[in-house]
Amino acid sequence: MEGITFDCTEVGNLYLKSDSFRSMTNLRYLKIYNVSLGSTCNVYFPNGLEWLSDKLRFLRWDGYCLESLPPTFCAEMLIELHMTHSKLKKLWDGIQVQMCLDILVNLLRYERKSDAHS
Amino acid sequence: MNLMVSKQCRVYFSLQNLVNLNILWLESSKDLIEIPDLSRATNLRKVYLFECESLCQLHPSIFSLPRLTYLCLGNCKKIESLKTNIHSKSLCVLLLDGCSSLMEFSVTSEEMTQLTLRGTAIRKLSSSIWRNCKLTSLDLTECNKLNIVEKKLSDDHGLGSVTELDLSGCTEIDASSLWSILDGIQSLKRLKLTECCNLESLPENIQNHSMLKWLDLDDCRKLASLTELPPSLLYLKAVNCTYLDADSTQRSLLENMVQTFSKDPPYEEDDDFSFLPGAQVPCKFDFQTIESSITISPIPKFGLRGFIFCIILSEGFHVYHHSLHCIIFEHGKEVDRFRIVHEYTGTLISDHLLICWHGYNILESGSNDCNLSFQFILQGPNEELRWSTEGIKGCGVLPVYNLERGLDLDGGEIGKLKFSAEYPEGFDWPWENHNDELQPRAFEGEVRSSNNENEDDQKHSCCSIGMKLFTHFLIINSILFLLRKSLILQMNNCLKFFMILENICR
Repeated sequence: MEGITFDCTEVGNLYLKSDSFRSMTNLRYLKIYNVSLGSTCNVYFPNGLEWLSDKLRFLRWDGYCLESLPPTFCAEMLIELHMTHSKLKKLWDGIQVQMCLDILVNLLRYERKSDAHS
Repeated sequence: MNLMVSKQCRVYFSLQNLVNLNILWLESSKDLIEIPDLSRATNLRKVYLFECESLCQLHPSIFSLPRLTYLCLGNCKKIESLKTNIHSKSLCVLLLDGCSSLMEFSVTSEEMTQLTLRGTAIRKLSSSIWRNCKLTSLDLTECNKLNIVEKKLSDDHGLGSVTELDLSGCTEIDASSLWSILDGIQSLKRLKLTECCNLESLPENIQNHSMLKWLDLDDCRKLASLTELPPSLLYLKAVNCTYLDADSTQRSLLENMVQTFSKDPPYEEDDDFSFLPGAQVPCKFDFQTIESSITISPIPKFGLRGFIFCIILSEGFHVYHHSLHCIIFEHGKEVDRFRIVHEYTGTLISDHLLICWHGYNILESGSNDCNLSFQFILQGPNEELRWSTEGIKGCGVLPVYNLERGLDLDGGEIGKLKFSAEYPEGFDWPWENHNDELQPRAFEGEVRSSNNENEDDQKHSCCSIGMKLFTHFLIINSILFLLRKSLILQMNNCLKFFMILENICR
């Protein structure tokens, strides 16, 4: 799946798992919107959101309910980010960034080791 | 080694991950505290952070982004300072209206065209503001702490493209800070100083603004004197400026209006009128009365551009929601009407004069003179108070004639033209149903202008003009005919044709 457009105006509360987007590794376009501006979005992640595709180029999410973007989400490909009326406190939480860095560092170490072995 | 890798990762992650980001739109994310360092977001063009009410500061790297053109921080009520020494190369629009805590500001850009500081808490406008030389719009309304404006440095260009400046509600601004602002701007057309209640006089350099046409001074209650105003000024609003020496102001304003409108009648906008303290119709008005309507003695039609009207509105009159209608009668029959609506919300604390212009568009046939009456009437906000003349203490009418050079293409010449170039049968003058009455004598008698500046016209032989004219005549005639089919030509328009013709013939 490469794109999702979802109008949540007339949908009741949606509670999604934290790994809901895990399988969508090719997701490039994600638009979760609410036509009536100013109202909150009713898509919730009680256990947080752990993953979004790094291939995302367009992300619009009105009333995003979490305080930051997933820590593992790397926005290098992202061209447009629209998050109006969100509950964001920071785009990327500092601590979570650190976690993400640790993962990266470990990965790099692992790659170095495997290179050395081969 | 590992440490180095780790450092590189950190750099990689925090600086490069937004390299493709074009638009960052986080409007109304009211909990947002900070925006990350965006220094490597080299493709970022638009950042929209309107109403991010918890946002305390912005990483200064944002101003060095090479492609950032639009930055909106409107209603970000916690931002206190935006200062940088970086002179941006790309930022065009910077919107900071409603940043009610913003006290320090010095952001400049090579490309800045629009800057809004409305309702901010800035006390000082630093001289760096004059480096935004491409600004076309600068909004400083309701900056009610602003009282220091640094002068433009001698090597700064100043703002050459700002034509409108609104300083309404800048309650601390005084004549000297206004001087610095007017010094930094070159070609103002409209200046609004409504409710600048600390202003006692206008700085002298207002005279240098030779394109200034609209000046709003409503509720500048301390304002006692206006320096000499530029001759371009046509519309002055000074409601409830009761200390103002209104007589001299009225005089110079009327002079400006007559000078300008006799040459070039304006395109009439709803907002184009003057409204200032005064209890008497100035003596310059040829016809005046203490009633709300007036019938004037017959005046010649030829060259009549229009009228300047003066209406006295009495103390205590509640301006808001009232519109003033003027109905024009010719030979007792309504031929035209227009209305004026003032947005002022208060009550007049003394008698005021409303001075406005209306062009003469009436194409009555049969006479060289016009017998006109004018009635002024107020339309109230409620149904039961719908029409009334209560509040009108008098009115005056000043006819304005065309004094322009081209139009003293004098009667003699027109007359000879008429006879040398034989008009085809059935040709009607646009302003007359029958051209029988169009006698050369009538033109000579009615043009009020002097022919002094037109001496070289007389060197032309009327005959040769006529010959040349004839070749152009058929073309012009067909144009006129087409125009007549679709719209009512004003007499002025028609006379302009003659001016064009005259120029062609030279």
